[in-house]
Amino acid sequence: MAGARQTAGAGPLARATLALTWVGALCLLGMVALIFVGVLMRYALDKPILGLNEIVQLAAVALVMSALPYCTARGGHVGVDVFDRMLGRRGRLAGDVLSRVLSGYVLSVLTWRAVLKSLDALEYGDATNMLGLPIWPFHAILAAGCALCVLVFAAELVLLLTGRGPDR
Amino acid sequence: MTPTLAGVIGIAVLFVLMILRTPVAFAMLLVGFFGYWGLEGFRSAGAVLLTESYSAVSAYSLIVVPMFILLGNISSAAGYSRGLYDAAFAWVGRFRGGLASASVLGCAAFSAVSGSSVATAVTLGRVALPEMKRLGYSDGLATGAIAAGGTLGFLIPPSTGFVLYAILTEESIGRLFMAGIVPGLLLMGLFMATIWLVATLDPAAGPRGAVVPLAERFRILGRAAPLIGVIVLSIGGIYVGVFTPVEASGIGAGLVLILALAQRRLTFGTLKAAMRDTLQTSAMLYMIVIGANVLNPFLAVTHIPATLGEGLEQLGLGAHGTLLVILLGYVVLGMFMDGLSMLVITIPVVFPVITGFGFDPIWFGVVAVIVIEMGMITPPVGLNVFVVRGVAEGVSLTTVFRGVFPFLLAMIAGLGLIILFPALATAIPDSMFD
Repeated sequence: MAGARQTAGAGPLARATLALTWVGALCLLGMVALIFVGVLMRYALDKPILGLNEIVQLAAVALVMSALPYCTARGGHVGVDVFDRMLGRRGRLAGDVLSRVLSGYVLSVLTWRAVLKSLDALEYGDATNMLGLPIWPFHAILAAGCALCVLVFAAELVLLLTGRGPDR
Repeated sequence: MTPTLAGVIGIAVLFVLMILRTPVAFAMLLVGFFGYWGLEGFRSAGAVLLTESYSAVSAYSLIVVPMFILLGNISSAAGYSRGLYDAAFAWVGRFRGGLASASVLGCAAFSAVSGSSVATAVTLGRVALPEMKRLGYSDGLATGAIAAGGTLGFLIPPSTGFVLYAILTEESIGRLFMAGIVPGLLLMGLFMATIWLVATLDPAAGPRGAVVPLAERFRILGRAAPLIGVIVLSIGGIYVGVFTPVEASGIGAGLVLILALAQRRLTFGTLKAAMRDTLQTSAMLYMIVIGANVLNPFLAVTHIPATLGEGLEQLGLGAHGTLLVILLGYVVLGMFMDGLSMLVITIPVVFPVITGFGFDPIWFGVVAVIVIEMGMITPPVGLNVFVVRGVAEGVSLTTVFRGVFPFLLAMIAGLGLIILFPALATAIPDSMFD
């Protein structure tokens, strides 16, 4: 959703998505360090780290979900824009509104399901195979990332409908 | 409504949504979710939505995506692309069209740390275009070489295209990476031959660069050696079986980061920008996988892939005739879709057909990626062409498209060779220790 950049790129929501990238950056560097050290331990010291993959996998969940709202707010998702001129201003507006309403709805459903799954996992103590790490926080992160994306879509909708919206 | 009809409507809606500017990832997500809801009910659709999304973001093999993107971004931010270009120029600059050839060589080298065509074209374009301008290269040859060279980013490992192909088809990422090496080098060679030919026919288009003495050549190559070392270690490590692709990506990213920090080539600002870009691109790619993951169960219940496969078989075109039809379809789609989206949308449908005809799945991955790359330099939506024009100041889009045309012919020739001699793609993965 390129073009949302100038408008949804400011304000408290944009600051929130930007702040969240620090979490993502931490996960990213942590993952590099873990994989790096893991390989060294295995080859140099012959001491593989048990369950390393699980930690890296869970860090990836946190990385992606902390980056998704930022990517969305920055208009970082790829789309087709060859037909933009043909659509006209009204057509583009209609498309942008439709896209955000529907995407917002589906991500809301996803948020809700992830919250339920997280509560379930907490109640039953679901854990990973190797290390027995609790998995509820990661469904909670999935829910939080999606919820923030829904807010980004909502903010962009308000801008679009008040005529200050992005137009590529 | 029969499931097949629902599937056809779903695919039609997918294209309508994309035309109406819904990002590809979300268009797939929407059609997958609402389609599944229509056929199997809301509860099942919600369950599929959650399990498929979570399995995408927690997939171990996908971890190569942020790692390799970080590797490419850090290399670029630290200016290692400049070193690669300088080394390439020292060795091939003195030939006809030498700067353009050096750009292609630099693109190929940078492709080995970057999985993206666009990133490769931008990075090398920024370094090489001003140099070519200074030496009086024609705009067409200069921009054409960069736009074409950039496409190598998608073919030479690591490649985001191969990662997505592997995820969708459950093939091995390591084998696909290895399969891309020879075809990547083949295209590089063909591009350089094309440059030589263009510069021979029109010497003013691509003058020779200065001759660099042999000792100096080695010295400049030595400066690029650390990055070349990282490339050899990570890609070679996958081949020998020392590293899994995920480990290779983490080692590569870690080494380049340590190298760049030790050589004080990164400021806090450039590091921050590289990290943010890595996060944004990773999220974009993961969202595409989430979309594809949610779309595929819907496609499966509609039986569309199976029905289409039967239809193509009934046409009686034979294996290669069907392949040609599919590739032509890709060329048409490539006119208005970007490569990754095209790959993700078509592979679930096309892959069973191709393997049904007995084609090697790894080989087809290479063929599909090359055809998709061709779409990146053909009008009207040649993503690389737009990107290069953005970097080259004051050059018209028509000039770039015209300049890239001879390279397109070279790509068609390369593709033909790989179809005629599949071993070009399969020999290395088949010789792997796994």
